Amino acid sequence: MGSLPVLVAVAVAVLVLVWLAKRFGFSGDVVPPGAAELEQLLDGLPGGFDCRQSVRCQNPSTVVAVDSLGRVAVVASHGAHHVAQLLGRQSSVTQDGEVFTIWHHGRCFRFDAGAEAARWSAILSCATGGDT
Amino acid sequence: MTSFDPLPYAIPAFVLLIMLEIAWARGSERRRIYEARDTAVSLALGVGSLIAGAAAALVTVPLLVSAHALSPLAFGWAWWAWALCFVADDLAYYWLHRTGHRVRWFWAAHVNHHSSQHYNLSTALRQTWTGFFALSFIFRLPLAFAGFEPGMILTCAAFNLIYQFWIHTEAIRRMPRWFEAVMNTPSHHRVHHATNGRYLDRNYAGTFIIWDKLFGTFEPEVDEVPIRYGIVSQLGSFNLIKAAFHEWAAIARDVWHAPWRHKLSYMWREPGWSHDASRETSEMIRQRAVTARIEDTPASKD
Ligand SMILES: [Zn+2]
Ligand SMILES: [Zn+2]
Repeated sequence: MGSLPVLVAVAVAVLVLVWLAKRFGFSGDVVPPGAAELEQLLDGLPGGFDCRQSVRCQNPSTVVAVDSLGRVAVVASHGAHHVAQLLGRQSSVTQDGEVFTIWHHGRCFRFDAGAEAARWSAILSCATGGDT
Repeated sequence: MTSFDPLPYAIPAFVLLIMLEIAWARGSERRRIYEARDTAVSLALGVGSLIAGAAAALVTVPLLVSAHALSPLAFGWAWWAWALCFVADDLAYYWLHRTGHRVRWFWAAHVNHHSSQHYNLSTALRQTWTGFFALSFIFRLPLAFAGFEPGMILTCAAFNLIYQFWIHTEAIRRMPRWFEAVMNTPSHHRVHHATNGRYLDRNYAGTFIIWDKLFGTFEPEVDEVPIRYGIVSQLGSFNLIKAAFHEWAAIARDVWHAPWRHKLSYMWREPGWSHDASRETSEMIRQRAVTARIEDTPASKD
């Protein structure tokens, strides 16, 4: 069996399958993570995550959480699933009044901290190793 | 060298079965089984691995032929040699796969098979592009040294890979007991793709699950524990290049930044190892899961 016709046939088959998956609506219905899923996602972070507080962002499928060690995790949708990641030096934060915007791996997490803005400012500054 | 590659003949069946699974997954409670972008990445990785494998064969086939020429034994093409070769190749696969999870260098080539958060038949086709670069072929050289025909080894390896296609599904809960006892099944392999602490680095088998039972790496699936698929630090991206190479890039970064005496360790130690203990290995995560389970268990009444 020649390898070029096989590759062409495989490429066509791949396109058909992806089209089929799209056609049937498998394009990541974004569902905000439930409490149990959120707990599982955070627990899967290195060293676990003793969550002390979490806030839902303006985009309700994203969450920002802080643990007892002061580490900050962001949870975002990824297709039909979610990923939790810890903030680090590569993340950045801006503050506009009581609204915080976190940039992490090209994604944006925006939330209104309200009366707790000063506390969140300190937490985020520490977690990202810089100033908000 | 005489050789038969069954893979091209299996591809139409792969396509048909994926179509059937997509149709089955349309039900509302199964909507998270497929994701079009994830499927595209998985299938593209499969096509890329076909090309990478064909290029690598230019080197690996002559190596197998040379190893066979050095062997004092030659089993030839007898039927029993085929049967023995398939079992021996499956054992070689077990160690290749186990090393692929326990040594970061080999993990970098294997991680793309695990980086999907979905578990479906298309996940089976998330095959490596960098297996040759990682030198994974060294695990099959002993078979040629032992006297098996290189063409026979390659055919058995291809059949092993084809066998592993159908086990990447949630559509089958359990096979008959006798089958579950001897063969690798969807249930056993779901455990292998899980990131739950209790399941990490378990069930490395290709075709026969007996190797895991023999070498102490077997873990049965518990129906009450919902499986989270993927890798410990989820990729969170549908970028094909990232999926194929991200761990190599991470190794390069770690080696660059590590103190001199730790540089090599970032390549040959287990994934998650770090010189300052700032990360978690699968043993550490497993230990955490075990401790949590003990704490969750109600105290005995005595
Ligand atoms: Zn694996
Ligand atoms: Zn697999």
